Amino acid sequence: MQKVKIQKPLLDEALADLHRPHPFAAERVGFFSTKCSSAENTTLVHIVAYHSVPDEQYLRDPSVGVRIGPAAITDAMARTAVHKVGQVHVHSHGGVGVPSPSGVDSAELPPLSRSLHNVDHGQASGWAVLSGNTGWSSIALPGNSEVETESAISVVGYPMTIVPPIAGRRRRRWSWRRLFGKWNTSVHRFDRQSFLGPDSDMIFASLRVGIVGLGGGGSHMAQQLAHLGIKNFVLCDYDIISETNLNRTVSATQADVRRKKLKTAIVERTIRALHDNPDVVTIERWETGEEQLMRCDIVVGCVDTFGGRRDLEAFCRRHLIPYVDVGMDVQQLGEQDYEIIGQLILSMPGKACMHCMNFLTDEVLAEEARRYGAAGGRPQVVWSNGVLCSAAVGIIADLATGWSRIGRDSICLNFRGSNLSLSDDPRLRYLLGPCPHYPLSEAGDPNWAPL
Amino acid sequence: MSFPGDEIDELTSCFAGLSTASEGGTAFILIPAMNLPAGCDPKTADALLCPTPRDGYPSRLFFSAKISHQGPGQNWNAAGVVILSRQWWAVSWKAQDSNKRLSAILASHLEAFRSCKK
Repeated sequence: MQKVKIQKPLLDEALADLHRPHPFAAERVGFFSTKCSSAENTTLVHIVAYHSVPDEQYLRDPSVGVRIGPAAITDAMARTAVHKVGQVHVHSHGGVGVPSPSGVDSAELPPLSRSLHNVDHGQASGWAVLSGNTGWSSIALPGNSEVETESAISVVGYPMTIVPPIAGRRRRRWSWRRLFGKWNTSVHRFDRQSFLGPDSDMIFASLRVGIVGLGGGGSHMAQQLAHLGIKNFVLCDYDIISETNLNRTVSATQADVRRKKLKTAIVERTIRALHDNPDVVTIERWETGEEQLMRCDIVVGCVDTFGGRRDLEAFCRRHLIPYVDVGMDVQQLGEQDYEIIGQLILSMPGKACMHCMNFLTDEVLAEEARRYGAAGGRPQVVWSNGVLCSAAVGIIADLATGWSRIGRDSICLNFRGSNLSLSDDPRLRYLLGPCPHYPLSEAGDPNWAPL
Repeated sequence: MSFPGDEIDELTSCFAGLSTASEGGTAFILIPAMNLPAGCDPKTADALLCPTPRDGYPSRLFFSAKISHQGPGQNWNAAGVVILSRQWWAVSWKAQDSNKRLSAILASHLEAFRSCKK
């Protein structure tokens, strides 16, 4: 499986440059730098930088009008040789949806693409065509010097552009209706949420969501996401349902407790009751099922520990996956005085992370380590999990469809149980610029530098 | 993050193939196939040194597998955590790294795996 990803700000930067007028060229070109995340049967190609081609590196050519000169190509090759990144030649066709390459593109660009890949077969290089909201690419993966794989380009940001695998649709105009035209059994089911967009049901059907932790939070998330129309899940939890879980784990029953059912099995049952042939993968620990989780478009963390959140966010940043964190706790303020506090965070690659938000600090991680991460037996209630998870599902629905047009790609909401309020954390207002903890240059497989 | 050159020189004089990478704003040093103190099983393992505070410790030393040994560090409180796309294990051990040189930090962590028996 291959997937090509780009952050929305980087796509916008590339398009802004490519659409600038040139003194004599009808269209501009540029180069993307790429890095990869590799697993046994999965390669994610991350676009990590855009490089404009200076005006003076364009040459007049009677056969095709204009082409870029050797200096531009040498510069691209040097980036691969020096910085160990792939290079992808890119230009824009405008419009929306996955574009198709022209005949000239298909004739002229593959030889250049092969030259770029020959500089370092350990990188992902090729060529791509952009539209206004996504793109098409033909890229040779690391270790494969001959074969280029065609992929649509998934956009990570607000709104996301989720595209299904392109195999078998070579050179055909991409559309959700063409892909899912036969999938009409659910037309009536989703009529009441048609305001989310004409293609929203198909976007949800194509989205893959990973949920880590299937207790009071994760069981709510899975149930609501399945109702929304999401049918591709990676479910992670090693735990067996117990009597004390029944106060908040939706769909779990007394019979499940008697049968000692895995929480993953209970959630999978809920999803299968709502969809024909859903794609549900269950794993006990995400740490040993990384390949499944890295294929997800969005990961939701409903974990008990701050350390677990830190590790999961680091994983998501590396693979350019938006991470949604949901959590709550009951604090005793006095002898008979309690408060429910919780948080809902959208950690978008490139934007403020949970360290930036001051949610993960050395102090909370150290305090947790002193307690050896013990979170068992903490008070939990169904409604606060429900409020937080419903809001999280709303964030995911907006991220996938862009229906609200508000464009929030970094969110930190604080929950207070006493007045049932969700409010913006004011700290987020002051977090401008890219995240310093997870630079885009560290996406993909780790950059081990010799000492 | 860059480490002081003389401290890296000290480490490279003892260990081959060192490399560094960072994640989440924290820099790590990878020591491939490090020889472990006598009595450890396995005898070698990849080690990942985090010379800055993490999890409430002033520094941490992770291994690519859980090590069987007779030393005082028997509480494996990091088991299979993912750092830099790989799983790691570490014992609860507060290294006595008063001079904070990389080699001293590493040596102090290895004390957790040295058997007290003569």
